[in-house]
Amino acid sequence: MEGPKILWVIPILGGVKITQTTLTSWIAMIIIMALAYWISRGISVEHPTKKQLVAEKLMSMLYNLVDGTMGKHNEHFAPYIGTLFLSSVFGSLLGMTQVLRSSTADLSTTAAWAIATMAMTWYGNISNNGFLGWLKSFTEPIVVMTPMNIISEVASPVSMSFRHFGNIAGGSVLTTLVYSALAALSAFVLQWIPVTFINTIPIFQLGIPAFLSIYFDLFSGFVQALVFSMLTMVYVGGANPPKAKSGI
Amino acid sequence: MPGTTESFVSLDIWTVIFAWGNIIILFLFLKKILFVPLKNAMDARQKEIGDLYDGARRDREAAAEMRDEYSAKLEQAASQGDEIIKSAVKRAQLQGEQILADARDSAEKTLKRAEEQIELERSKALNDIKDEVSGMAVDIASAVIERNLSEEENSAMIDQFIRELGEKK
Repeated sequence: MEGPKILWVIPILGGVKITQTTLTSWIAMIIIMALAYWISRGISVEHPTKKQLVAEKLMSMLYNLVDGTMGKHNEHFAPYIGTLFLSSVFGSLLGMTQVLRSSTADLSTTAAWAIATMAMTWYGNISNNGFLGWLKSFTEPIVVMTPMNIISEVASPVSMSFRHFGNIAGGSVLTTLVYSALAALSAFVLQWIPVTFINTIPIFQLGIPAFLSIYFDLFSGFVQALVFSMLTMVYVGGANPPKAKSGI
Repeated sequence: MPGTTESFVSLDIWTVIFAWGNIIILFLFLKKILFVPLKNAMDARQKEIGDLYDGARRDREAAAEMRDEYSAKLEQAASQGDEIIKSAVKRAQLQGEQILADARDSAEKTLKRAEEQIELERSKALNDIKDEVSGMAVDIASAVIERNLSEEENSAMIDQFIRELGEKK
């Protein structure tokens, strides 16, 4: 199993690399934008179409999730969470085409998102407590914990990005392995047939990988997107607590 | 260079930058095109439904109020009607009695007047008869005594005669 292929290098700034990952995320972007544009046409308050009702249902699920996890006061983060979730799902699922490589099967993508999450967390912390307050929060509950707190602050994005990357990349590794195993099994079973063309057909590759794909690509793609979005909500929500009531 | 592959676990700065750029562009696009309009539509509908419910509740309350008011008015009107009828009946009775009393009164008066008239007529007739009789008596007497007195003396004499006659009765 190899990493993402470098498709083009734009010869500026010491070579801007366009990899398979970037291509996939662009395609995912175009699909999401097209869907969003299709849904957004003819949004009506009094006579919603079916597609609008479905979109509204999903929207209210998203807003409920954000309200429940981050609190009502952080509702303005919902569009970002939705964008993150959609990017992750489409980025992962496009790998199932076998033509494109999942954009989330590249550590660069998941690391970028995890760093963005952490940046939002730090921004929230600093704007709520001030820079010194943020630094001071590392020494809590006791000063001895400071190294631990710093490690955990760094470990969070690392674990987030590796979890997402590992699940999706691992899924595609497994799919590749299963394909080659099934090819070997086919060759082993069909070698008794004397016709040269027929005994080279990898017959077992038909259908069987689909069941594995349901778990490793489809299920995993959704679950990892959800996990990543949830973690983002928890971290960013924790950095933006509800405005303290006076006297408490 | 193109055609080569990155290692399986790798961090490429350009891929990271593209990932950031992509998610920011997608975020702005979705927010503008999808999230905000859809959320606004949902909120507007929610508000509209709330307004409709409020309006319906208000209308129902107003209707109940009006119904109470009208039924109270109806009741009042019914009792007023009763009163009017009662007072009209009473007045009619009084008037009837008055009319009867008036009628009786005027009848009595008429009767009295008639009686008086009769009395008057009778006395007049009596006087007439008296005159007649006295005239006749004068004629008879003059015929009898053949001595013609003046009329005044005659009538005085006859009157006296009749009075004596009447007193004798």
